[in-house]
Amino acid sequence: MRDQAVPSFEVVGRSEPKVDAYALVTGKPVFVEDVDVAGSLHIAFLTSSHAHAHIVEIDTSRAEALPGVVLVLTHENTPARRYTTAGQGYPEPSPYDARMFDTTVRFVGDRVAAVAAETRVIAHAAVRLIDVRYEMLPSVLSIDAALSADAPVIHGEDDATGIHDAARNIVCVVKADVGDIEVGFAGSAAVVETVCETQYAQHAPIEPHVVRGYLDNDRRLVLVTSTQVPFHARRIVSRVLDLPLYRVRVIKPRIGGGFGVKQEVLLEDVVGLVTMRTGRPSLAVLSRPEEFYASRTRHPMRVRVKLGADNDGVLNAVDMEVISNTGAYGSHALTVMSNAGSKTLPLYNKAPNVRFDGKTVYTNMPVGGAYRGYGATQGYFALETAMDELAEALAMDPIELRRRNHIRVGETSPIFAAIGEGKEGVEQTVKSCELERCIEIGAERIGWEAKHGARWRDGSWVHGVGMSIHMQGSGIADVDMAAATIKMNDDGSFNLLIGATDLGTGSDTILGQIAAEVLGVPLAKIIVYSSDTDMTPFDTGAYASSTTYVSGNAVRLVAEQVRDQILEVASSMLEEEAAKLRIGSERVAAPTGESVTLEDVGLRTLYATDQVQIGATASFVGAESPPPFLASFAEVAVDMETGQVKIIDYVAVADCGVAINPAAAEGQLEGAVANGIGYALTEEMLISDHGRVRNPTFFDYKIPAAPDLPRIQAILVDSYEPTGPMGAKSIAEIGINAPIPTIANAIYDAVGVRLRTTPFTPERVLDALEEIRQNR
Amino acid sequence: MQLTHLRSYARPTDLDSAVDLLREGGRGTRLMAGGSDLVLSGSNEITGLVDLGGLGLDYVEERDGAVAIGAMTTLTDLLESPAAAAYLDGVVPEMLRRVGSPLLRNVATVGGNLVRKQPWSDVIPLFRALGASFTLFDGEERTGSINDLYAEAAHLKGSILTEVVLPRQPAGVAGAFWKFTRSAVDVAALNCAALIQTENGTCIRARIFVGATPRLAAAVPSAEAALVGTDLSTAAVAAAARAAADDVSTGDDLRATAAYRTRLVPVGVTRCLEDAKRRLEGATP
Amino acid sequence: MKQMIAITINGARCSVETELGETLLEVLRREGLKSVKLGCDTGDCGACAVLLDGSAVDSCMVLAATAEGKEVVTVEGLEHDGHLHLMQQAMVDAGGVQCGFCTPGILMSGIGLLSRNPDPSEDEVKEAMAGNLCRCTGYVKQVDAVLAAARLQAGETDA
Repeated sequence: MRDQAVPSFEVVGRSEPKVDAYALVTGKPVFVEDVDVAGSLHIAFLTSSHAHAHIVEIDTSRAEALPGVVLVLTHENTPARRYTTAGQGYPEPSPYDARMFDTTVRFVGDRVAAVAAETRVIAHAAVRLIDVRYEMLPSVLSIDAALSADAPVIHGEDDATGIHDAARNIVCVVKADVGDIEVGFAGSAAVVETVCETQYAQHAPIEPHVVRGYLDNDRRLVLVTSTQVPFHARRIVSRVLDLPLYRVRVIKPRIGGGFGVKQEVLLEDVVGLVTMRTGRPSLAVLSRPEEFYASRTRHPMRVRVKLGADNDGVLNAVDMEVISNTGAYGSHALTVMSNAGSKTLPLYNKAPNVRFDGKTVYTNMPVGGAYRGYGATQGYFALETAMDELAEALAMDPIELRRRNHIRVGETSPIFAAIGEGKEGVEQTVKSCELERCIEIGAERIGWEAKHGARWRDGSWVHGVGMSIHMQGSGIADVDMAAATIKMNDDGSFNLLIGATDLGTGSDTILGQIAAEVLGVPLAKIIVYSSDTDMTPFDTGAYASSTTYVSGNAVRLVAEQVRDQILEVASSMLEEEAAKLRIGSERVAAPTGESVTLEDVGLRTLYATDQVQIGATASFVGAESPPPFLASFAEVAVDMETGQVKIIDYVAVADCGVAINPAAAEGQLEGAVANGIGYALTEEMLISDHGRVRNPTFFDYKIPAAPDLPRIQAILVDSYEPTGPMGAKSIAEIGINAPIPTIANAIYDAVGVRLRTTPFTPERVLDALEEIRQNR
Repeated sequence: MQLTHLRSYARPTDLDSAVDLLREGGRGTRLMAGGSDLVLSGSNEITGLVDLGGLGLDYVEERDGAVAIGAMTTLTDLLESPAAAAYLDGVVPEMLRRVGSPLLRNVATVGGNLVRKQPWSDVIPLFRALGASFTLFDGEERTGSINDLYAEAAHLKGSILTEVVLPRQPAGVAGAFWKFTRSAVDVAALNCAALIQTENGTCIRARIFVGATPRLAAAVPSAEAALVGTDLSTAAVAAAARAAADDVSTGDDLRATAAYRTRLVPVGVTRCLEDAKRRLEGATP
Repeated sequence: MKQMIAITINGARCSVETELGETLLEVLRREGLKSVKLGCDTGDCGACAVLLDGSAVDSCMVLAATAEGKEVVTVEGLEHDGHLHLMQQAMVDAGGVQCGFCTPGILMSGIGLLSRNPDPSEDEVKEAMAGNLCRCTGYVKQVDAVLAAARLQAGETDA
C-alpha cells in the first residue's frame, strides 16, 4: 500500500514477481534436502538430557557394531579447537567457548555424539546404543541463579577465549555513558522506571536446519546448507576442521526461512567431518524438537528503563540496564545485548544524559542466538512501555510525547558512536526520516482519536488502542561488506553474481531489480545467482538488515561500472561522447536519436571488435547504518472474564526509504509483525526444573496461524535515503520489535493493566486484572 | 513418524474378519480408524494394523430425527453433513469447527476420537451431553449409552466401535459447546458441553460436562442439579457455574495452571449455558 | 517389511515399493515429489499437505499403505501444458510466496477449500489455512491469493 506517488523508476519500485517464484510455486526441488545425493550417510545426534554434567565415559561400541553404522563421533575423536558458532565477521565478537563435541555438557540438548549411518532409521537406532556415564554438576537455570555468589561456573575451561568473567558466568559487559545520568534525573520534572522481562522464544522456520556435504570430483568439500552466512560458514568450518579454506565450498540454495537462527554454523562442521572422514556424502537434518531445543533461541532479557523528562515531556535522562541470558554458549551474546540499547536509545536523541549498562550471563539453558530484531525487540518492550508510563505521568497523549522526542532528519545521537557491535560504534546523522508521516497515517488508520481512552465494551470484551515507534539500522557500518559481480552476455542480458543471501526475503529479486534499473533492462534480463563461495563474490550474509542497503549499494556500484563500460563501447559505435549517451529500454541512445541495442554491444564485444568481456566487481561498506522507522498501532480486545487478548486491527507504517519491491517489503513487514504478535501473546518455551524444554513441538509451542491474526496493514510511506541504493534503506527486522510494546500499551488502554512480562497470556492478564480489583 | 516395527497391515471388508484379525494379531495389533494418532505415535509396540476403512462405516444418516454416524466418518464429513447442521441448531458442526484444522479433520474420524479418549477431546463431552448411544461389534453387536464407554469398567478390547447415534431430541431441547484455547488451532485448555431441556419454561433436564481440566470430560452433577427445576434465569445459571467451580477439580499442564482453569470453569459453564438458552429462544449465537 | 502399493499420483497409476510402516510423506518424497515438505512430522505445520482423494491431508500422518487404490495430487501435478494452476498463478501475483517452504501445503489447502466452497469469505480462507503454518508472510498475501483464485475460478466458470 503506497500513499504518495513513487519516484520515477522503470524496474525499482515495482512489485515484480520474485525471480524464484515459479520454482517455489511449482514445487521444484530447490531446497537442500530436495536433491538426493546417491550414497548419502544420514547423521543423527545424541544430545544431553542433563543441564550440566561432565562426560566421564562414552562407550560407542554397541552403536558402532550395528550393521549400517559407518562412523560415530564423540569428543574422543574430533577436534578440540574452540570456536564460536555465531555467523559473524572475523574476528567474531562472540567468545570462542564451543567445541564440536565437548567433555562437558552445558544444557539439555547439548551435543554428545553423532552417528553416520546408511539410513535415518539406523542412525537413530545407533544413537540409542551409545552408553554415556555422566558426573552430574549443579546447574544454573535463571539469570538470578547465574549471578548469585555461589553459582556453579559454566565455562571453567582454560582454553575458552573472549569471556569477560567466566568465574562469575558473565560473558560480556557493555557500558555507555553520555552526560551525567543522576544529574539528569535530579533535574527532571517527571521520572518513571519500569522493568520488563522477555521469554525464551524460537524462530521456528518451517524448514529446520539441514546440511548436505559431499566431496566433488576434485575432492573438495562441498557443503550445501540452509544458511544465512555461507562465507562465515566456509571460514568457520575450515578453521574447526583444520581444512584449508580453498578446499571448502559452501552453497546456499533456496532455504525455508531463517529469521536469524541460520546465522549460525551449527551442523556444517559435523557434516563436513563425516564427509571428509568417510569420503561419502552425508546429510544432517534437525528434527523439529531439536530445532526448538538444540539450535538457537531468542535471548531472554530483563530490561530496566528509567526516563526523566521536563514538564513539556522532553526527555532529559534515559537510563537502560540490560541483563541478557545467553544460555550455555555465548554466540551473539554481546551484540544482541548491546543492540538492545544501540538500536533503541538513538530514537529519542533529545536527552543529553544517557546511560546504557548491559551484561550477558551464561546459564545451563538453551542457547540464544541471532533472532530478527536482535536485542532491539527486547529493548523496545521496556523503552516504549516507559514512554507510555511517562506520557501518563505527564497527562500527555502518548503520540504527542513521541513527537516531542524522536530523532529527525539532520540530527544525530551520541549512542550511534558510543555503542557498536563489539567495538566502537559509528557516528552518523539521520538523512531520511518520515516517522512523522508514519505516525500520522497510523493514528488515522487505527482510529486513535476516537478509540484511545474510550474503552468501548462488546459484551465481556473491552477494546483499547496502543502504539509504539521504532528505528533499526541498515547493516553494520564499517563492518559489513558486500560485493557483486556483473558480466554481460551476447544478447544484452547480464549475469549478476552476489554473495548476498536470500532466505525467502526476495533479495535475489530486489538486487536484480537494482541492476536492471541501472542497466536499463527488464528484470528478466538479469540472471541472478547467489550465495556460492566459489562463484559469487563475498558478502557477510543476511543479517543486521543489511542486504538491501549494503548488498544493494554494491550492486548499484557494479551496475554503474558496467553501464559505463557499455557506454564507452556504444560511444565508439555511435561516434558520440559517452557522457551524452543514455541507457534505457535495452538500448543506448545518442541525442540524435540514433541508438544501438545492448545485444549489438554484446555481440560486438564478445566476437567482433576490441573484444572484451564487459563486466566488473564492486564492493561496498556502509559508512553509516541509516535507520528505517516504524510507527505501530494496534486495537486489541481484552476478555475481562478470561484474560484473553485478541488483536482486532494492526497497522504498521514504515519508512524503509524507497521500497525496491513494494510487495516484498510489505511481506517482510507483515511477516515480522505476525511473528512479533506470537512473541507477545502465545509463544513461550517452557523449561522444566531440570532445564528441559517441555514444549519443543508445534503442538505445544503456538506460533500464529492464519485465524490468529487480523489482516495486518503494512503501509510503506514514501521516503528517500540519499546514501541508499536508489534511495532504499531496510525493512527486514523492524516490524518484529513493535507488537510487544504496542500490544502492551493497547492492553493498558483497554483495561488499565500494565504487563511487563511476556507473553501476555490470558492468565497473566487475569492475574493483573484481579490485582487491580483487589487494590480498589 | 515411521512405524518401524509394523509387520502386518490388513484392510478387511467385513466386520467378522476385522474382529478375527484383531484377535489373532495379539498384543501389538491395533485397530486403525483415521490413523493419525497411530502414525504420529511412531510407536515400536505397534506390529499389526487392522484398517477399518474398508467396512463402509463412513456415513451420516438422518433416521427419524436421530443422526446415525458411522465410526469411520471423518470429522469434516460430519461437519459438512446436512443432518448434523439440522440437529439441535448445528451445535455439532459448531464444535467440530473448533477441533484442529481442516487438514486434521479430513483424516480424523468420529470413532477414533471417541475411542482414543484424549483428555482434551471436544467430541466426547458434547456427544455425552447429547446422550449419544453407540454400537459395538465383537462378533456380536451390542449397543449402549455412550457413557458406558467412559465408565471405569468399560471393556473395549477385541471390539470395534461401528456407529454412534445422536438421539432424536424432543422439543424444548438445546445443546451448546464452549472451548478455551491459547490460540486458534490448539487443543482445549478447558471445554464445556451442555444439553438443557425445558418444559413450560422450567428446566426438566440438564447435562453438563467439563473437560480438558486437564483430564477427560466428566459430568458435573451438582451443576446439573442447580439448573433442574429452575427457569434458567441468570441467577440459576450463576448457581450452576458456582457449583461447577466448587466441584470440578483442575490440574496444571503446559497449557494452563490449575488455578487458571478453576477461574475459567464458571466462565465456561456460564457461557455454555447462556449459549444453550439463546438457542432455546431461537436465536443462533 | 517391504510391500507394493498401487496408488495414483498426479494422474499416473504407479506401483510403489514401500516399507510397511512408512508414511505417505516419506514415500512421496522418495518417489521424487519434493514439493511435499517435512516441517514437523507431527501433523501440526501442514508443509506436507497433499490432496488425497480430493481432500487436503497432512501426508506425515497418513500411513502409506492406506493410500492403496487412492488418488494423490501434489503440487507437481498442478501445472498443465506449461500453464500454472490458477491457485499457483494467484499466489505468485499476490506476492504470497516468500521462502516457499509452506507454499505447496498452502496451495493444497486453498485448492481443497475452493473445491468445496467456491466463494469463501476471508475468514473462511483463514480457517482453511489454519493447519498451514507460515513464518514468513503473516498470511496476508496468501489469503489475498486464495480470494483472487476464487474470483478467477468463478470468472472461468461463467465464461
